[in-house]
Amino acid sequence: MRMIRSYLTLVLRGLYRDKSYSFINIFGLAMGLSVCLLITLYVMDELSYDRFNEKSARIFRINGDISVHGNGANDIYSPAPMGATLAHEYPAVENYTRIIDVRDILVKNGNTTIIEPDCILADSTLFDVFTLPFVAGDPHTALLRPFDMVISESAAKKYFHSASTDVLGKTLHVNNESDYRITGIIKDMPKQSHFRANFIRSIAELNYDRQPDAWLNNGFITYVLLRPGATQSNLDHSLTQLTKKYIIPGIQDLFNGQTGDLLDKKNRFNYYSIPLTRIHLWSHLPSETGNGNSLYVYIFTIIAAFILLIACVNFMNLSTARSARRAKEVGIRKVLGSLRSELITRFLTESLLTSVLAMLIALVLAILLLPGFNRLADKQITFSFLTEGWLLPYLLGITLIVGLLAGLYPAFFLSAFMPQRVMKGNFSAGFRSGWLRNALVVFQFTIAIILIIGTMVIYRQLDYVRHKDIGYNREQILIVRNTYSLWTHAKNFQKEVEHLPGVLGTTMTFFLPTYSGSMSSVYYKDAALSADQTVLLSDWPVDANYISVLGMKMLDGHNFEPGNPTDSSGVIINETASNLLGYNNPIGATIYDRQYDGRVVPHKILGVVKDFNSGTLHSKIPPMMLHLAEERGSLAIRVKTTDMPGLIAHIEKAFRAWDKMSDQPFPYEFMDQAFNRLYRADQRTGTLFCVFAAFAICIGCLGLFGLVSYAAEQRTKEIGIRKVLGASTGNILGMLSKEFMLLIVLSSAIACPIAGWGMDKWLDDFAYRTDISWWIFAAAGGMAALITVFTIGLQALRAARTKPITSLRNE
Amino acid sequence: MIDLKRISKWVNVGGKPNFILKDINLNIKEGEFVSIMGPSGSGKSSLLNIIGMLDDSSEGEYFFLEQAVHSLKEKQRSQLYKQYIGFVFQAYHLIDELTVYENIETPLIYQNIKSSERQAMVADILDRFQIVGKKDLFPTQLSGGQQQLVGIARALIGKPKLLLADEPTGNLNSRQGEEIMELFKQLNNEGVTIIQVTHSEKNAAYGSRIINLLDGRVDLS
Repeated sequence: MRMIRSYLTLVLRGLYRDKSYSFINIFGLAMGLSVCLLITLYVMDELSYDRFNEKSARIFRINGDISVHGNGANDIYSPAPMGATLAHEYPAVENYTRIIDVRDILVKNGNTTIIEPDCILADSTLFDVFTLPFVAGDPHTALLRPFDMVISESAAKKYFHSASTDVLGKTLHVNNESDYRITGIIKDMPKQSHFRANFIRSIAELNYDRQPDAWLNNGFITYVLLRPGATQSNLDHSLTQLTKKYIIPGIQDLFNGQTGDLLDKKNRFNYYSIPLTRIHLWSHLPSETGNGNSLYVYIFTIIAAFILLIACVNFMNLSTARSARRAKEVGIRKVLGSLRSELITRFLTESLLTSVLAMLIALVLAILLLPGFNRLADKQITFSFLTEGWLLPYLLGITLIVGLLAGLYPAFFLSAFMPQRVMKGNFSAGFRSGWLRNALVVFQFTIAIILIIGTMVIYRQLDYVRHKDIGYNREQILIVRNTYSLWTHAKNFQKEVEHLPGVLGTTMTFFLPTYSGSMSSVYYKDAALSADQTVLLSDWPVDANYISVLGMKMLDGHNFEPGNPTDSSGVIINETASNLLGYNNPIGATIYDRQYDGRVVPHKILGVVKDFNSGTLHSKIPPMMLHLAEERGSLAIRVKTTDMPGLIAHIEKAFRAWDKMSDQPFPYEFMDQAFNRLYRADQRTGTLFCVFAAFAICIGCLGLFGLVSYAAEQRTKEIGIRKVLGASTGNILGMLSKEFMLLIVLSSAIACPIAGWGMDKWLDDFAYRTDISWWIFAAAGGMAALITVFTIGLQALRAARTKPITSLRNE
Repeated sequence: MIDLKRISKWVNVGGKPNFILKDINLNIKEGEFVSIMGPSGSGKSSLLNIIGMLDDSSEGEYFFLEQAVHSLKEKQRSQLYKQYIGFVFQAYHLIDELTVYENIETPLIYQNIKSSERQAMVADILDRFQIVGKKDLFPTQLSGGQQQLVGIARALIGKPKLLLADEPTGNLNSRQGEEIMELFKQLNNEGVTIIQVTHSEKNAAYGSRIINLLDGRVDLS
């Protein structure tokens, strides 16, 4: 005990005496540890998605991958009978549930109406598959009848000020349309779920069973629960068989056996499964917007490890470097009879103590940084040792490992000094040529340069996204959302807004280009509807002003003319669709589709509109068709005014005047905002990357700073000699920097290919992307060099300025 | 060549000036071989450093070849120094990481002499000191006497008018020491002005003049 106390006093005294060294060492390590800790929390959070479900390992989602004649969709939807059929006919499947993601609903609450964003429709089996504990009600019967609704605890408290059984049987008025009976209350879903539900309506309200070709319509998100012991390949095998048994005959029926080339290999009707626990990180289908990305989890994990490594490397480097100063102490101790093992213990205690100290500071730092980090990463991570069982052992483990790792080298290195050599003062010769240290510096800079390149590429791509010609003009457009609630008055509202001063034009439809999501319908190039003349087209209902108000360009033909009766069934297609259809002159050509009642409707092609991007640049522009229809989803208003608030107030007044039935908050936004929201996830990645890069660079610089001081200290004698031989301050500065510059060149050489490869992968995630130009590499290397010069400049200057005689005294 | 007028050097210890050199007046002509003697701490090395422009005096005037060194700017002084002065140390102060050849070449690099010219000059001096065979060795592979020979070669490579030596034989045995002193005498005969600091009467006797220092003053007794 006394031994340890004496160690502790000595260690603390030593840390105090060498203040700047201690600061660099402890603070650098603490910074590394805290960033590492935050990233670990982030990664653990990402990995924990959907694992709150007790049966998560046995739950799979069925995805559909359909492609016909060069266009199609691989998405999360499957046909209505899929789940039930799997559960009844295939032994691997124990149970199933289907979901339809409704998202926004309007819920009446006393005199006000509130937009609730998280509504789904689900089968009553939802609670058998997913683990959603009930606070009140019976999970087995809760969703059996149409207009039954299960709500979350917080929703219950919000609307009924209670979450107990007395809420059951009460009703909520939804969408100004129907009353829903509350049949159950569940605990709020954990945030780590790939779908969110505060309002769960029974799927029985849909009359899907009456659809004639139910097998050919993908509209449901189907989850299946496998029996214990069944594997994913069992399931996929079942899906293949099911496709043969139901989907293919369905197609043959549709065409009365004349399927033409429809069932050829180049067309796909595939259904496949994805494990529930992989959905959040590994699934990026068009209809999934809130998912994470495994790539980032990998990248961030690697960054965390690297930042920690860099911090450890600093610690080792600086400790070894400082040993020059401490060598004399070691020598004296040895002469006084200290054993080598005692010295090793002493140094290890010292480094362990430092790492404990650093960890304590890191914890404080992490707690202080967590709110900001949560904002950056859009997370709600909390720091609790109690709920996160792994946290405490993890922290202790890291502290121990870092302490030992960082202490081992100096400990063995220092304790091996020969006393008489050390005390004579010429101990330095042996460890100047530290290839290990050089390797470590190269390692640090490689990481830093990779991160700099990464940040630059991400920001360049985001900039590209912002400035790319996306085929429509999103500036100066105001969008009033949710005009569905105006019912038939929507058109009146539109007319009124059109006449307001400052309004250049309006167009009413839910299908604005900032909307993301794909919906394809089947069309035919011939009136006989033969199978090999099918094409899948995205079909958007719009009004006649759509193209002009959104600033799109017509390439050929003419826009809709509302007065012209033939235009009501006419369509405008985009370039991609024009290419897909393959007509030399598409104007005047006709395409056909089949209505539910079997009627064949011809659509004359009136014009071709220049391609415009819908959704994000992550996805390609689909072949698209616009047709005239009264779609009341939202109103886009092109404005030109100096008094925007005044204009908005006028529009709101008009909205309120027609909005007789609901009293929702005025739901408006600028199209620009809607556009930026599409890239929020990308923006977030960029920011995170930038922050991590800054941290890595900072920590690296701290270490470099220490190393240069060390190098200068080591070489004072040489610097002195060189000055006596006529070297100027510039010569010395160059000499000290040259070594590090060489290391930077080497680091760049290693970093560039790695970063280039990695970022190319990232960019591949965009259908429309920039290239990685050579100047990015040059700039990153230059930046690293600049940072180095800046870091070492001061120290080197100080060394170069010292009078040579001070370092050349013989005494 | 060298004219020191009322040169003093002090450091402040606890607020009081502690004199290292006091009121030194000294005149050394070109071609002289001067030995500075005196007990430890008498200020010999400090005087040599001031003459060699490695250190400033606290007070007084210093003329070198008619130029007022005390009022020169750092850059001009360094120019003057590079051109005219060579330094030899007791501990040789060779750069361990450089070979004999590179050590000797270093001052020429700092004088911006072209590579081909440097080669010729270094070859000349290696030849003259008969250490051509050692040119690729590192200092640690040489004996003390050989190291000092390299040190002197390095000091002479720039063809200085003045050679300053701070106890050049202090770390050598007597036979090596004698060789170095013979070399100095020979250099002096060729016209190089030499100022050496030494403890040894015998070495001092090689010179043409002896200056005794005691407690920072020239001892005239």
